[in-house]
Amino acid sequence: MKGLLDALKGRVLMLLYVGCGLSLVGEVIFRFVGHSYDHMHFGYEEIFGVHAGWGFIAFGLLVASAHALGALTRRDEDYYRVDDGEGDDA
Amino acid sequence: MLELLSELHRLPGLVLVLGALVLPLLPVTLRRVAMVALPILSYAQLLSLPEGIAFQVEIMDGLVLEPVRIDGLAMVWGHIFHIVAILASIYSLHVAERGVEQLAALSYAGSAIGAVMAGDFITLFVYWELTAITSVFLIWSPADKNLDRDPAECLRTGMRYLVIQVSSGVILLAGALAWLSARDWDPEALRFGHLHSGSIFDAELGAQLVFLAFGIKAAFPLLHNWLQDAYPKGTHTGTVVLSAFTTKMAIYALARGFAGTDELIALGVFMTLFPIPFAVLENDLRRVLAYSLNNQLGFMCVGVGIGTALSINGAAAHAFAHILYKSLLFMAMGAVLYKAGTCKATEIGGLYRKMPWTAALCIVGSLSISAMPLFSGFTTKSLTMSAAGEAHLTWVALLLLVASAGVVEHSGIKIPYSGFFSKEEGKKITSQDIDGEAPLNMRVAMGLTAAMCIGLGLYPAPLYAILPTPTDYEAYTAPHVVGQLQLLFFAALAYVLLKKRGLYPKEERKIFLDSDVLYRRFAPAIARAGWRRGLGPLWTGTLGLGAGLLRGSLGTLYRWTGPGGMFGRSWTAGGITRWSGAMIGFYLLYIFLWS
Repeated sequence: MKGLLDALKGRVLMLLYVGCGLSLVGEVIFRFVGHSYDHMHFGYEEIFGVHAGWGFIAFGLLVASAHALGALTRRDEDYYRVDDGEGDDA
Repeated sequence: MLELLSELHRLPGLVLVLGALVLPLLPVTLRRVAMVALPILSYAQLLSLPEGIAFQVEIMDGLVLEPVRIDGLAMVWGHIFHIVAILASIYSLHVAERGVEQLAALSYAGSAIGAVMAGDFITLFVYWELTAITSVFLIWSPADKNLDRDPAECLRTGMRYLVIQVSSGVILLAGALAWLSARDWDPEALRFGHLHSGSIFDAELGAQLVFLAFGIKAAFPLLHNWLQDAYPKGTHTGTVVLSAFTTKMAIYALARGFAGTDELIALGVFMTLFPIPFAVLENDLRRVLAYSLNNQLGFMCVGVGIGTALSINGAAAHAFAHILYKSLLFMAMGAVLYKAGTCKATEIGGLYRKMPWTAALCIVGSLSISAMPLFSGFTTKSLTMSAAGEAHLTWVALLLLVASAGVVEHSGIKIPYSGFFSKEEGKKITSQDIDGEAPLNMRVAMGLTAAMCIGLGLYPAPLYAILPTPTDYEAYTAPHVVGQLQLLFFAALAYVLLKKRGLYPKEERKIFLDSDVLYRRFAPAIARAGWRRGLGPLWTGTLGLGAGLLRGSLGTLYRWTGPGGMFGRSWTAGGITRWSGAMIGFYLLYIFLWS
């Protein structure tokens, strides 16, 4: 199992890039060859690669929000223990 | 009440609650057998019960309890609660010490099973509170002292957890009584069924209180922080159990009582989103999973809020799959905690070299929670997304996609990467510091759970068949599979690019304030300031005045009755006679004038 994980670790980026490419190719196939629109529920799904773009942007937005949240709420690990004898976790 | 005693054998979960009491008395081998046998026995008992109300018990004049209701909705939870109880028992078989932990775990599981089968408010309330009381011992347990668990801190955390959980039960009881009172104590109103749909602001007080009680245990925003506070403080086996029951029991209760309640959609969407930045930042990987749990509960709340047959199926299926993959992830992090002594991302690195099986099984959990096709999250979360589509809730679907990208971040990448594959340089605990894999029983439990995650992904039909409304839903359509793959791969691509450019937040030995700061710091600070500036001086002044009055009264009393006082000194016989005569005369005059 360790050997398999080592191999996977070495190739994970390549697998990711291939996966990104194949997922776009897959959309080309089902749109223009398979015509599989039956299970679409939303108008935005008609935009090519919308899930790819949305996933990428959403991830960036979440990380940006994490930076903002960190700036506001970051404290030392003993924050709840500093008021020894008074604080909640004293 | 005698009727209830004669029907005890038909109460689901009671085998676990009572059986658990015997566990500490058994020798270690027998205890291990019993730990697995009891949930199996309980499951067999549940499956033997016929559908419908099993029996009724009259507790007061006309007031009838229905402690056991077997139907499609309850049985989804009945199945999965038993399955996870069996898996969690296998996972904790290596714990040889005779502790309160095993007792608490099984009785907690039994209480949660009893709660989802409860047909009336009183039974629900009893089990609701029992889950609180039993589960707190998984946090208070003195075990794992050497594993990054400070007993004193666990005690305080457990106390906070207990107060919040018990408060939920008290509010539930108040709501149930208000509900009954509004119906002139009609015995039929005691039955726990659908309470409200539409806006919760239009609901009556009783329904609103019950909604609040369920919301506390479902970890609604601002009511949520007991979860991230308490779950990382459980023992390495206890947190697996904790993660499975309370919150999903609350989702069941919401599905039973509040399907179609509008606010659940907005609350659910918010719940899917707000924990993600916290999970990105958090250092303790079990706390990351606790935030992730909150995020997943949001998806279920959306399903309940939409309120259609498909969406309720979605919530139920998601709860079923979620319990499995979340348990698997908590098991993997429990194994890391057990072997490395900590599961803080800043402290561990390269553990996959010594724990390859645990790492591989953790990846299965990560792929499942990320809803990767062929894994259980994909075949279950899809129902809720489709239900949002059928209801034309475009903004809901778009925001749930954002949340799905977030799941990739915290549970899909961060947990396996930080837990097993991060660099060893600069880390306190590396593969050199641990002596090998997690114990066999832990790996077996993780393996079985992982097999179910894959099985439900490859062949979800058996799960679809037991949903409240059996369905032949088709998850594997080309647009759906491709869309999901794009979302996952490009979210992961964003992670890689941000990481390479140094824009992704590094894990730090820090904490990040959440809503618990309100009751752990702000409220005590306000109370202290109020005491110092207002109530304190008032109290001191009142005490001073009281003491002054008391001192004055005692002084006066002493002056009159002390050695030198009028009533204290020795009187002559003549004096006594004069005063006695005067008093008798005064008394006779009084009777004469006023009688």
